Amino acid sequence: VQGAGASGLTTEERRAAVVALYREHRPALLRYARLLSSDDAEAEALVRSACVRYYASWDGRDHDGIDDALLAELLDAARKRKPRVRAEADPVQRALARLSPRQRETVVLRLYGGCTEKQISRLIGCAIGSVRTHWRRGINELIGALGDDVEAMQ
Amino acid sequence: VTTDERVRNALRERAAQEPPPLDDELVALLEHDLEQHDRNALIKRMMVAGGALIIAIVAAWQMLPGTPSTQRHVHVESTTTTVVPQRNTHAHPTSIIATPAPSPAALLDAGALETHLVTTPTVPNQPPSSPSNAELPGASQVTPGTAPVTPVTAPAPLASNPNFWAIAAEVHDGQDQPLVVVFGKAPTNSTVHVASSLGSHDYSINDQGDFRWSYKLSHSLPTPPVDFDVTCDGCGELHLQISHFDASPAQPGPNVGFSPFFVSHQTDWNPGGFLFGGFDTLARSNSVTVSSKYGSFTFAVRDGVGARVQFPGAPMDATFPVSVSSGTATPVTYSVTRTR
Repeated sequence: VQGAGASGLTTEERRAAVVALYREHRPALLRYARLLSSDDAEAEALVRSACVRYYASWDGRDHDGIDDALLAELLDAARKRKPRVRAEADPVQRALARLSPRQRETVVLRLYGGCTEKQISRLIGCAIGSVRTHWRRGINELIGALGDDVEAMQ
Repeated sequence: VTTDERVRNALRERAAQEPPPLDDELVALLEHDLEQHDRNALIKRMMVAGGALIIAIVAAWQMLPGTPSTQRHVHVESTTTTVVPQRNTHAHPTSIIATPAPSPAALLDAGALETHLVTTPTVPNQPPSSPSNAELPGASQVTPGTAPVTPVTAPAPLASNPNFWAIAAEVHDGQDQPLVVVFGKAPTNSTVHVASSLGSHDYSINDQGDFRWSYKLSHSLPTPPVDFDVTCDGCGELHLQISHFDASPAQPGPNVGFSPFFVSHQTDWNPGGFLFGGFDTLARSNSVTVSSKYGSFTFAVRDGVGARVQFPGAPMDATFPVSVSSGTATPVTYSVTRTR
């Protein structure tokens, strides 16, 4: 598929731009993807899927907030996959897998990403009240699932 | 160390494990995914276009004479007598109350715009009196039929604010269902806003200068009167009103598929004129012919937009029949009176 779009970029140029974004943002996205998936291979696939989704909706123009846009696509892509729990998975991974997708995203974004409720609301597309509910239920479920492992953590 | 902090540290520990380095294979995988996405998007677009093409072909096939869906129309037409029905109730006249007085510049422009807005009778075997009359898109001389045509000399057309006009009328579509239309012309690149209790819409006027808003009365019958405010930025404002609605379908007859309309004398035009038009949904013809003993003429019709017609040869206060037809449909005759 060739030809220039509304931004004036050809398809090849748009692809090259997204590949450049992938190279730049892969490490950060991969860290989130690891918490939202069952293993590293799935995490890599999630990051690629997020880039393709971003490519599909990108109009080719530069804009602010590419980080958030890519992260939102990553969350959307992860939401559509049910995490598999492997036997060799660590306690954190097993506990996260027990949460609902929204609870998992809220817990990860708040605990790991340090996001505010407003940021989480924008990223996962929920009202702030829903974010609070997801957080409260998610963190209780996570601590309960970790059980005695929590005490062993430093 | 609180429980939350312990969980947070555990998450960070898991996330912070050194990711495998980015290699060419991973980049190639992404490039492959992007190509695959483009291929899928292209296939999806082609399927949508193909579906639309199939629908268009089926619709065109159904409109061909002899196909089951049009047999009713063909049958009706084949048994039509030569009696001309007097159906003046197809469209309900409306009124245009006021337009701003045209500026001198607007009057200067009127000559050029007349070619699209004004149809002046052309007399058989007599050239048009002005170049503008001959340049009407789709205009041609029409044999007047059996009615004698009185030769007339068309005076130079003159219209007040001819570059912006609008009509509101109740008409019937090709399925004989009643609908309200507000249509007209405005200068290219202007914006027209149609507002009423039935809804509102903005139109960016194209090169053809047309705008058209419609409302199906089968949805719900409005309480009359219904006022329409048609505003054109920079060229004026019109107030239209429909004071009566008839939600019943049109009587089946020889004009099925062609719904002509006629709007009475326009008070803001000098000399006076009439608006004729029609909806020919069977696409038997893209033109409408208007005939009277004071002249006959044909104009192109698109989306039901008609043309303004003058009868300068008619005596003042004279009432005379005007026949409106399209394609092979039996003409509909209206009785009109010149008052200006």
